[in-house]
Amino acid sequence: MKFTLSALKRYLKTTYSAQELGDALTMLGLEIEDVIDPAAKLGEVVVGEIVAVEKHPDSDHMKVLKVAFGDASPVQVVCAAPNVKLGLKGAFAKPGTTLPDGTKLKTVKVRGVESNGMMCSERELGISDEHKGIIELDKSAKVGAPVAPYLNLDVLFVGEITANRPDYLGVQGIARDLAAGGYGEFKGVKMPTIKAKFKSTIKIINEASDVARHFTLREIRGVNNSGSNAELVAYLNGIGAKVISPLVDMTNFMCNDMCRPMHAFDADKIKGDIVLRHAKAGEKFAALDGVEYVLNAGDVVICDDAGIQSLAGVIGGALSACDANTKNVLLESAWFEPAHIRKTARMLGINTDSKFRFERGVDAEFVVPGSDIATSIVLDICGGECGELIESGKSVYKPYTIDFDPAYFVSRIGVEMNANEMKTLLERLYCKVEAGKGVLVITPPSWRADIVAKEDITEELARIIGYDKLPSEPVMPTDFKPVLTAPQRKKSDARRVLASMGYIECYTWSFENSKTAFVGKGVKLLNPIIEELDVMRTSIIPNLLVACRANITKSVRALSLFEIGPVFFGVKPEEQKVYASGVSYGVAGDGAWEIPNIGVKVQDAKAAAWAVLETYNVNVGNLKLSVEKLPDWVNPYASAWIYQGPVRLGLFGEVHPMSVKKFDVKEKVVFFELDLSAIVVKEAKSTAKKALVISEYPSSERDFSMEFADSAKMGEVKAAIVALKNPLITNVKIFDVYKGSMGIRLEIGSMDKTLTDDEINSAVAAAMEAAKKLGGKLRSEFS
Amino acid sequence: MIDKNKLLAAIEAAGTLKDLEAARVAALGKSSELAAALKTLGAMPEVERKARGAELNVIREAVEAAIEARKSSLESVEINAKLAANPADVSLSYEGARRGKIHPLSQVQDELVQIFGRMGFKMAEGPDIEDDWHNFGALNFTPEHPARDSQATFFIDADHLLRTQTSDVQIRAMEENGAPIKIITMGRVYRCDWDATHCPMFHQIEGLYIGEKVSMANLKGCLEDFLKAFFETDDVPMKLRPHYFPFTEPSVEVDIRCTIENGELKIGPNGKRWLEILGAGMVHPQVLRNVGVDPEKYQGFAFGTGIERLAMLKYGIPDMRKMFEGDARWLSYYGFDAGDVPTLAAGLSRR
Repeated sequence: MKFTLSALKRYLKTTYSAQELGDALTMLGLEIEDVIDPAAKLGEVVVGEIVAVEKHPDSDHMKVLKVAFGDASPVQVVCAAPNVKLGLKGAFAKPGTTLPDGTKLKTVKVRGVESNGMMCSERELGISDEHKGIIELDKSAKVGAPVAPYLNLDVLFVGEITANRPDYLGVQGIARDLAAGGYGEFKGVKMPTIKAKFKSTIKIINEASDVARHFTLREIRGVNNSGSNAELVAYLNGIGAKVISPLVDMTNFMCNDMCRPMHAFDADKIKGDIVLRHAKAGEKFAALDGVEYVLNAGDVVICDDAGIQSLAGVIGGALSACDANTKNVLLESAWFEPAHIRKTARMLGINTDSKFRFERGVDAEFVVPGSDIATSIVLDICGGECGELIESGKSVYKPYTIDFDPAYFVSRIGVEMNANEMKTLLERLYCKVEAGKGVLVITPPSWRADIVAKEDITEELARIIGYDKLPSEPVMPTDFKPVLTAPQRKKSDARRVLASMGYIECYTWSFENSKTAFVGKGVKLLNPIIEELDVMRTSIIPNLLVACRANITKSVRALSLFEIGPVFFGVKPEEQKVYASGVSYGVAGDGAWEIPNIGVKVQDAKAAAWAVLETYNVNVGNLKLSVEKLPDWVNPYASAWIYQGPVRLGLFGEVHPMSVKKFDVKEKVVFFELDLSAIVVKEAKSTAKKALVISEYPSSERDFSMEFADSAKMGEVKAAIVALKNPLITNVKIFDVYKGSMGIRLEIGSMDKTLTDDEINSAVAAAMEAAKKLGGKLRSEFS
Repeated sequence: MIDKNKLLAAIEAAGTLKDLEAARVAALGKSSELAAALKTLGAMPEVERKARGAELNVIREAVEAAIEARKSSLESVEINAKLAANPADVSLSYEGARRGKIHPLSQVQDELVQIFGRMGFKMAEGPDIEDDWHNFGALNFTPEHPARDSQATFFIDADHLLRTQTSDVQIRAMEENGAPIKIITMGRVYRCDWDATHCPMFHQIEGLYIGEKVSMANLKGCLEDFLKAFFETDDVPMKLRPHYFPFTEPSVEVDIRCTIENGELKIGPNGKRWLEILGAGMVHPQVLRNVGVDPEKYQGFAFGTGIERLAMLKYGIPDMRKMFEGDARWLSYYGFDAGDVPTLAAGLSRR
């Protein structure tokens, strides 16, 4: 919403400055984003008078002037403006002056002649685009005085209107609220007396009275719509609106000034009666903006015998638009159902000032007064004579009352205020206030349809007294229970565990590209932000690969990235899971001297996955791997599912080289992806640990080496030895893996004594036996 | 007579452990003078034997002690020679340690948990894909409410959308637990906007406190304490401006007085501008009715803000879009170490 200080002052008698009024509005609830005061930038520009004009010796169109600007003697200025003449008083900027566009003036030579400053055009002062000549001020302007007061500059306010305050969409309403806030006196609106000279032959046939609840037309005959009206032009220029023709300018003025959207039909282009009806799907309508819209069923249209002339409350039609030749006009003033207007405009993608106001709800009591004011303006500026008002329906406003207990305000806001003070404040807002039994009985004004209940009254009182009056009371805790649930805490812990393992945390989009998605069909967005982010992700890995690619192009040669976040398999809450996913590529340590020069291994990813699972209190010793039905985006020879009993917890391994290629990545990428939602976090019931029992006797180490035909089973060999639960085998470690062979180191000991060689050997034999069952052949035994 | 001094001199003269062993054998070995002398003791009468035995023992102990001392000295020479031959280059450092990092968004969320935890809030969560009721309807956005336009919404189907605000969790939490309730919620939200200052996905924190006597004064106190704790400063000049949200009434936007210089946020009464930082208000009675809470008995406040914005202001991060690019250089620079767990007890962030 844009409005000028002069427009405001037509309604408000005030001594406050523009800046003060802007601040006041912000604190009343109309957030002023900008107060643009062109005069503020003209401080150094003064009134200068041309006291001599001579020809430039080296130019036909330039003149050499002497300009007087106060106490100092006149200076020489070269000027090319066509309107230069002796005695002209204009805006003079002397050398050293900074113009509004930032240019700092210097003494210069123009074709060999010295020029000390500039007589300015309006464009040079940043007050309009006018640049045909220099500014000509009134003869009475005082030479040497600051120029700003002589330029009749206006201050522009730019405000953000909240959806609940359509009354702020007219300058009148803004002035009314400033007055209520104590920033001046509201002057009111002078209602004209309209004398109808004839009865119109046009009838309204309203078949859409469910939407067009109150619809009026007034015919004005014999108008002159050519040229323009200076006052309206100044008004519209002031808010940066387009000037079109007096009739259209008038409707735009009514809209901005009084929040009364109107439409003007060229009456000579209307055939027969005006019919309001619901459109059929697919009907076409050529609008004023030059677009032909295909309407949806139910949109309300205003038609004549020739077809659709207007889309109710949203936009007028091209067929019956007013132009310079318009002689007879039909002015529409109406009230439409707000939700209907928004729906129509939203479906068609139209945004107009009219729609913006109707969808928020304009003052229902102002339909006819608005029409009267508009009529009188037309008669004033375009001449002609008007007919009687043609009306369908009546004002939808029905006065209603709100019972308000003053104690309610005190309890909610925490500020003491008595009923009388409240009454005074509410009356300033044009509420009718009567005393009831322990309550105030309040009738809000017709233009405040947003005030319907006691909480609305509370807000009105609070904002008028100002929120800076609010006391402050701290919020205290009531217990020592944890803030986070167990899964929430685990999620946070898992992040730090992964970071401690060298993984860098990312946040990537919840969306992904359906063309490169790995898993199933993602939930599709109806209006994706870009084509490449058209579905909700079903895995985090593709987004992490996008990040890998970006890092590789920036020469990051080795990297581990992880993300813990949502993935989506459906719209129901239980179909939205939390995954922890990570990827690694490149040589560990990126070729640092102290680290063996080896690339990432799937075990790196597995270690990270296991660390996360342990953080979630999962007994990793009981996890099972499966290579059944691996998805096609993984290397099937280097990946596995992770199962806890029947529950699948995730997947780790290597991303298939064909899959990383889709992301323009050539490096080997290992990954893990865990479904954290699938883990039931079991928290320890007690904080006390079972007492630790450790052996007082020395243990022995025994190593042996075995060969396997199927190298994939080595992890199971260790598990099989552990599963023996041999009380003497206290630890099993794989200390060497090379092609098909592995070295196993056993730690053998007892709680009760130092073991004999025989006892040790029998434990080793048991372990070997378990390994042989899995296909191992003994290579050697060392000790 | 055994020449003790000669024996000791031979030991002292040994230049290697091998020489020392030879000297030991010569002094104490089977064929040494001392061994021979000891052998003669048996045949001596007792008195003489005792005297002679004691004498020989003194010599033997002196020799043994000398050998130990010499051995230790020779060993130390030898070890030192070995050490000197294998020096370690202490100027050289490890080059390749991969440093994992915590994203600033996670760090800030951990900080917020600390702050609101101290006030007694508990964390609640909800789904990102929401239905119209939880994201809009229950929050008093009636169908075709113009305020819906301010929340550029991603749609899935007629009834489902990506939540535009975490307020849906307020609804879900109250539907489940009723009142009184005191929760915070953090999570992803989505708006169909993408430019220098908007991303289609970002994060919000919201708080909800409903009780029998929770007033707007509590809201102000809560927000003041939050801002003081988060920005770690005692003086946070705060301005509440009237605003409009369908789900709160009164509704306010909260500004803080500050100056931002070279990316650094300086909060205080000398700040040059008011900066919008939060939205808040008293929960609309209709919202309470919508979740089956009696607004005649219960009342309270809600507030919310963007977590990206908080992180950017606090840590001087210039570009929101970089948060979601996974650029390792950015993450390593703006990220936090795994061990840097924020706690109020240890100071949230000034380490």
